[in-house]
Amino acid sequence: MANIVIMPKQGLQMTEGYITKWLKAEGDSVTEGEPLFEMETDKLTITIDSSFSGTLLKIIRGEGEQVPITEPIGVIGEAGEDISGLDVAAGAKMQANDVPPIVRPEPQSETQSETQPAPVAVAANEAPAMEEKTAFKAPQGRVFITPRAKMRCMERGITDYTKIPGTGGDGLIIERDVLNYKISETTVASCSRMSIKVCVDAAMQYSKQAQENGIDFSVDSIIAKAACVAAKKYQQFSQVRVTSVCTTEVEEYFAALQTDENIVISVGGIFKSEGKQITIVSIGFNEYNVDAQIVAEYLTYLKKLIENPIVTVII
Amino acid sequence: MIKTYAQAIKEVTAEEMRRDENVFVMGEDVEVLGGIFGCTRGLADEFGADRVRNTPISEAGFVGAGLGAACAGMRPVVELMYMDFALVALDQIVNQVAKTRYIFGGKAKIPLVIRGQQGVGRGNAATHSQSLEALFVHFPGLKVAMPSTPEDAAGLLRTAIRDDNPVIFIEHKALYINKGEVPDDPDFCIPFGKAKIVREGSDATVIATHTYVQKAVDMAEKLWKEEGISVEVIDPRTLVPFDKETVINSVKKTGRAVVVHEAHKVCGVGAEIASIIQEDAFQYLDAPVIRLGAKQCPLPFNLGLENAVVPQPEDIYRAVKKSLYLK
Repeated sequence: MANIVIMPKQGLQMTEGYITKWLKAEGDSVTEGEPLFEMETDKLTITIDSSFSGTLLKIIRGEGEQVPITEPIGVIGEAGEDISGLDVAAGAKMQANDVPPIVRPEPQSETQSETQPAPVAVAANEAPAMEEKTAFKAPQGRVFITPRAKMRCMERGITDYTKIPGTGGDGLIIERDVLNYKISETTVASCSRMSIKVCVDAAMQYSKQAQENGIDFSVDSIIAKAACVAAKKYQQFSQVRVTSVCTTEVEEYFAALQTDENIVISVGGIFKSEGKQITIVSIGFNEYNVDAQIVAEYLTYLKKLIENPIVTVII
Repeated sequence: MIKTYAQAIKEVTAEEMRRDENVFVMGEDVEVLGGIFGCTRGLADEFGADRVRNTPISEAGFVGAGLGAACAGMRPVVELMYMDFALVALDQIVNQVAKTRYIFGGKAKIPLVIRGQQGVGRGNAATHSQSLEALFVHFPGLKVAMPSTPEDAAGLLRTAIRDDNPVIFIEHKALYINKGEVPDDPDFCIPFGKAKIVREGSDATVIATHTYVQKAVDMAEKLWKEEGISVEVIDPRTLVPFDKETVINSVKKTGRAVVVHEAHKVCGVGAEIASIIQEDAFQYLDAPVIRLGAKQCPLPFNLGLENAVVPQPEDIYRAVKKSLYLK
């Protein structure tokens, strides 16, 4: 194995050396301890002995070159050895960490190290705790979360915490992430739809009458009440979201389902058609979870209730 | 009345000696000199050399004598000039003082106080600057008090002297000249096992002893001003018994804990406190408990280097931020 000859550090302040003379040529054999080259710094001139025995296979930096300390300047190995694949930089680094080569200094010039003033409050303990040795995203896709953050999820009814972006390093979900997390209301791309035209003449009359008597009772409320009453007959429609724009005159309103929602009832505006006040009530639903036939029956029943609002009070 | 930590200790000692003729003091240079930090100054004038007894430089000898006196019905207050010297008397302390009552089936009553100072701050070097509380906490049979203010020193020392069990009363050399308000009540006692919430906060809990209590408070103020981080600072005051409840309740509230002491981090009491916290408040933690303590090397002679070894206020600041995952 070939050895790298490096520019040695000859003093505390030395950063570079100047190669003045190579005492061996490429191809010459060298014995450990034998003078190899001469160099200069601004403080001294010195002959460097070889740390290795062998053949000087290559001179990397030549006479007259200024070389920073620990950089490679030559290679010593077996005669005829192939050094084309040699990692010179790595070899130099290894040398730099070893004891410096044997030297015979010539004119001794003292390198004084400046007296350092007594340090005050030098960097003491580091808080070592959060060394990110292990990634918090394990190979199987496990998402890590602190116990306290998990506690906050439970308080907020977040069952799937994996969706929360984690800022604790390597994806660790911390308390702050949960507190900042807003459950975004994503909508399903498509859902099945049914709609029905409903005459709201009666409903509007009741509403007008109530308002004349100082009771705030809108068509919205009548429809919502009707939806609840209808749900007594069709259990899966209880707790269903009802959204309405019936204070306007738009014809149709088809609300989209939210995540984890199976049914939504949306009520369009009220418009005149064939002499009657009409609104279109539509149901968006997830056909995988809700039977279309049932939706149709519910919607038909709901229409009857809206058109005969007094019934909703009795049932 | 405002008095120094050392005065508080001296005056409580004097008051208890007046109150109970069985209380006496012994230690090195306690009589004429009044202790190298003045903690027994003037006591010999009032009570005489019989009750303020100079001892030879033989800790094992006079700690053992204190034990014997306690078993015989006296209430000795043994002063160790440096807590480091407890190591010379460690067999007496650990094997005799701590265990005698148990070994004699509860028959011996040992109202012994061993008090002394520890810590850095005077460049007293490796064998005179150590913090040894972890040793005394480890062995059953010893109570351990560590006051950080004159008021705590007064209240805890009185409790210690009136306690019928052995108490290791640990002072700090850098605290002796600190002044503070001390109640004048001659019966003012602070019960053991009651931590003090020195500063209330909601984002992180810092548990600190001795000189780090004030440093933690200073850093808490700085964190609040500069980062809007609210830090709760707790001084346990006694390590045995330890007020676990106050600490756990605090961590449940804040979710983060930093323990800081001057003793070496490795196997310091911070390790025990951190373990207790993770055992009892695991679900409430948002981050691992951070421990700060001296580096694992003997304490240097040079004052500047002392500061390089023991935790600095900035370390507390950074640790709190780290527990909040902030740079």
